[in-house]
Amino acid sequence: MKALAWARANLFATWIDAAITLACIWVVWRFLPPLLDWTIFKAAWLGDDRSACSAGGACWVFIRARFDQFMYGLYPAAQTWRIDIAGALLVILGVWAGWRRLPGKRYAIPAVLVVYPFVGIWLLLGGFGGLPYVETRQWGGLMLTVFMTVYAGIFAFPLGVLLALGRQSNLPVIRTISVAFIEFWRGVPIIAVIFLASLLLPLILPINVDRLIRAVVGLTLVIAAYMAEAIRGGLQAVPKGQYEAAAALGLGYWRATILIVLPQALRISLPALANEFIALSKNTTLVLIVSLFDLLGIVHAASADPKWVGYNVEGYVFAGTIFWFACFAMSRWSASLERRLGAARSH
Amino acid sequence: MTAALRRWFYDARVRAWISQAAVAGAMFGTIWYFVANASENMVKAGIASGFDFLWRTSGIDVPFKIVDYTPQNNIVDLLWVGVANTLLVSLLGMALATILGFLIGIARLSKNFLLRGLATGFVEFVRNIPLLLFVFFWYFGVIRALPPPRDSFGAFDTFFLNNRGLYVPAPTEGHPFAAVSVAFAIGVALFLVLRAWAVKRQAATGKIFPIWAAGTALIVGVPLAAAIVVALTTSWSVPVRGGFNFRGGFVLVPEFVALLAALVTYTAGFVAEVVRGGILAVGKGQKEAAASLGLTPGQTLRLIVVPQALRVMVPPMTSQYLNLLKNSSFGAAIAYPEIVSVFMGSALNATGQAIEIIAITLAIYLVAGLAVSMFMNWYNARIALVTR
Amino acid sequence: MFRRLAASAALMLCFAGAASAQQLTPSPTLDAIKARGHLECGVHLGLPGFSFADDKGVWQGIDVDFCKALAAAILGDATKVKYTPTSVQQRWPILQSGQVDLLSRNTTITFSRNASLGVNFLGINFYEGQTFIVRKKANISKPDEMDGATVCVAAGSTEEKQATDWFAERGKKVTIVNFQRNDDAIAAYDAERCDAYTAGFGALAGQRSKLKAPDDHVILTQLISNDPQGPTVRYGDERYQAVVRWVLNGMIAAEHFGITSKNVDEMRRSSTNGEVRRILGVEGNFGQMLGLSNDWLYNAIKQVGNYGESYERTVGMDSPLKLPRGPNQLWTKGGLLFTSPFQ
Repeated sequence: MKALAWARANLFATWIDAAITLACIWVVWRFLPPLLDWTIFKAAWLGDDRSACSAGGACWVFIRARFDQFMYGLYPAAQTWRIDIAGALLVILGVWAGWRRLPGKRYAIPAVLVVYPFVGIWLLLGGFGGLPYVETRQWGGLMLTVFMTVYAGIFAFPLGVLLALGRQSNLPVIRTISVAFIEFWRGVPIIAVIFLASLLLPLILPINVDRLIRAVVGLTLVIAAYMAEAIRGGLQAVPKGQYEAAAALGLGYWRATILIVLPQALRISLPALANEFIALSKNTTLVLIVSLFDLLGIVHAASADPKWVGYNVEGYVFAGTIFWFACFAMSRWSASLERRLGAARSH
Repeated sequence: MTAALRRWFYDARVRAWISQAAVAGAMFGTIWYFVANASENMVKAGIASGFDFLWRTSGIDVPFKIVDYTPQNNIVDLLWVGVANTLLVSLLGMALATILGFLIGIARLSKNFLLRGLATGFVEFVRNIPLLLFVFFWYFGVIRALPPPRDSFGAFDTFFLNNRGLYVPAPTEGHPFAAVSVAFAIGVALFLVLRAWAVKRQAATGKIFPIWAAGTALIVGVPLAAAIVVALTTSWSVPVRGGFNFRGGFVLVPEFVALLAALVTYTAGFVAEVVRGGILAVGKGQKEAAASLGLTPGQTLRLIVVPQALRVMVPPMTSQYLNLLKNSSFGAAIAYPEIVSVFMGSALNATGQAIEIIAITLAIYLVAGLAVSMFMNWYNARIALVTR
Repeated sequence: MFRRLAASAALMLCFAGAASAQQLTPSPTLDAIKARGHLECGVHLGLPGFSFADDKGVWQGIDVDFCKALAAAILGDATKVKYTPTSVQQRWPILQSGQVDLLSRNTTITFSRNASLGVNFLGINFYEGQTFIVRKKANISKPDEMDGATVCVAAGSTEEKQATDWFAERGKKVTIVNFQRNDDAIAAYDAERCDAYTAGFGALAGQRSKLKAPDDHVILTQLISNDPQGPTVRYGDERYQAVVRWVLNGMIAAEHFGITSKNVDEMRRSSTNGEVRRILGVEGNFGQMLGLSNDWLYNAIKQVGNYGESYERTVGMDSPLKLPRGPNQLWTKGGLLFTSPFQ
């Protein structure tokens, strides 16, 4: 009875509503069963090669057989524990820095932004401290995607802060340069920037730069420009009285900025920053154009392998699922931050 | 002396200029250093430079073009093919993504539980998946879903659909449909005149003229009438079945359809959020006040809610449009001949002049982006709240 | 007195040392390879038979073999190579900017590339020729019959332009769909987006395995172009270029003289043929004159094999590609493969 009343209020309130409801039910009924059949009921889960797969469903055997490669690229199998540790460390530090309930924020944020980059590089690249050297050309898969996202994000953050401050500056030259920089990198497609970084950096720099670093540099420049805009929003939201109060206390520009303004501005712009970070992680997929094998790139390459040709859809679904969960988690976190900020400000 | 110098040094204005000069100097120094390095490396490596290559014969064929072009044309013509294709997919994408995004955004606020759930699911799905995956998925999905040429779907023996594209009749020569865009401009002009008259009359007499119905009739009807007239008076090249495929007519290639579909569905997910945010930003009191003034729900939506919501929506919509313009470059991944694909791909390979080609490409995106932002800023200024 | 003598002797030794060092023209590339201890070789992203990494990341193929032979000649060890996979677009900047020492990757030797890109081609290790792969059910036997067809191709390859020109000359209308990456072009052909995919016959034989049902397709035998391919280097550094050129010549000559990786030790001990003795470094001091050891070609042949061995192993009868030698047979056996004499 209650259910009937609920259905009436929520599904069949008017004739139009009823029609919409029926249309929705039709859509679900039409698409959901075949989808479930393909992904689960008719799919092949066990086996070693393509003979285990049938026509009706997905061939998850392909994913199983290539799983290590999708995660680690061509990283030496004996060394993949280093990636696992680096990844676990990243998650732990990320949760520590991002989850409000946990104490010691004052240490967590520098740990993520300053200490982790060095530890991560040491773990992944090795070459000293007892870890054998693993070249970047052996990197690939999910680990490369995460690496590029995290490092581009970490490098872009300080640059973004400087650019945002520059754009708000009273000094015309600095303001002009910041605006030009931000608008330039925001105005061009990332695919072109990655091309640019991979083709032009070797020509304009006197030394040879690793091609992974080139891609990270390209991503960093773009994401810094977007972050600068997100931070500018935060800076504009800090009441003018805060600046005036800081000046009245005799603080100079840098001290007022670092001690008073930036902490408030960054807190306000955190959700927007998180959204830019999500966009960045999705855009790292474009590096496959310059033949770096990130998660999508390696899935793409594996489905051209004669042994597994024709299973690219399974690969895309797998890569898409990983991206979806990662991005969804981040966007939920950012949304919860936003809600809390809203609540805090309305007090 | 030293005191004067120190005072001078501690003068805020002086320090400001010194620091700015330092930043500017460092900036230009770095750029100069890069340029010097590049030119030295290029001379050393024997790489050709300059823009002469633009006037070389391209020799590159393009499967989909809306401007006249053959492989005998110059590379600069190839560039225009790319620019035209980029603009075509971007502008169409913006229009369709706006419509779809509006529908989904409104559906997300619907009272209907199922509709709301589906719309929310769609938005969450789309926003958290890389566009490149979408593009691949649509592309191979579109090709697989359509039949090979021998089993084409046909309609009236003039339209054919297969996995090589949608074949439609095309005018045998020239661009007679230019007249349609003129008719469209006339329709818009007539609508503006009519609206001015209707507003004046309403102010004078209080009578309400059905301006929206009349406006739609003018803006859609006039170009449609022109199109029909043109269609009946030109000679047509109708697609005819050949050995492999259809000949003649104009073909809408699957790369175009797939890229457009990917851009529209992806961007619609973001537009829907902008729309939802905009509508939620209109205070409830506004609607109640409108109702108490005796406005119908339709009038409330049109006269009260939409104008206020638009004001909130225009800036984020601008950035969605800019994203879509830039994202059209994803066409390079699936052989849609847009600017990155034909110019930074084919032409760069044929000539090897990376610096010049990348610079031109970036400049074109910046100019196109600037044009979009200027238009949106103009629109924003028009609808902005005028506070007195 | 003794001191003076010693000093002048030392001075003379210095001169002599300087003079003998002066005999070698400087070769920054060779110096760099030796200093870093490995060769940097630019290869194809993945073309079975030519350069292809298996799922363990081990590179194989005829182009890869050349990199190995060069590494063996310069460093004495064929395993000291690092491979940089390059796409059609990236290969030139990667070579020009010095990220690789050479390209050995299915790159057609053309005049405009030689003239405008600052690259030199140092010989031919594969006579490729462009043709098409089509579905058997389409019933095509010659490219002439392809009027109205749609052809998938990798953008920026010579094939893109050649196909356009070839059909235009014959007044045939063919739609060319150009993809940024070979694999995408093949996948699109396999999904029936195109009636044919075009590339060299060798490349097609390799890429055929990337189709879902390779037996449903046929590679046309008529070639529409000659696409000779070989190792490609930057302008400059003649001594390094000489080494690259003569490693290739050496592999071909070794086949001509019947030197194989199996009998190379035997030949070195017992051969009386002057050319064989020079190839294997028994006679003359030519390796050292190039700044290498005298057994440079011995190492290459011992560790990689002669041209014929490499061919059969990678693209020939011992490989899945099963390509007959065709034009890639020695000139003495009716092919085009030729080497300058080791005189």
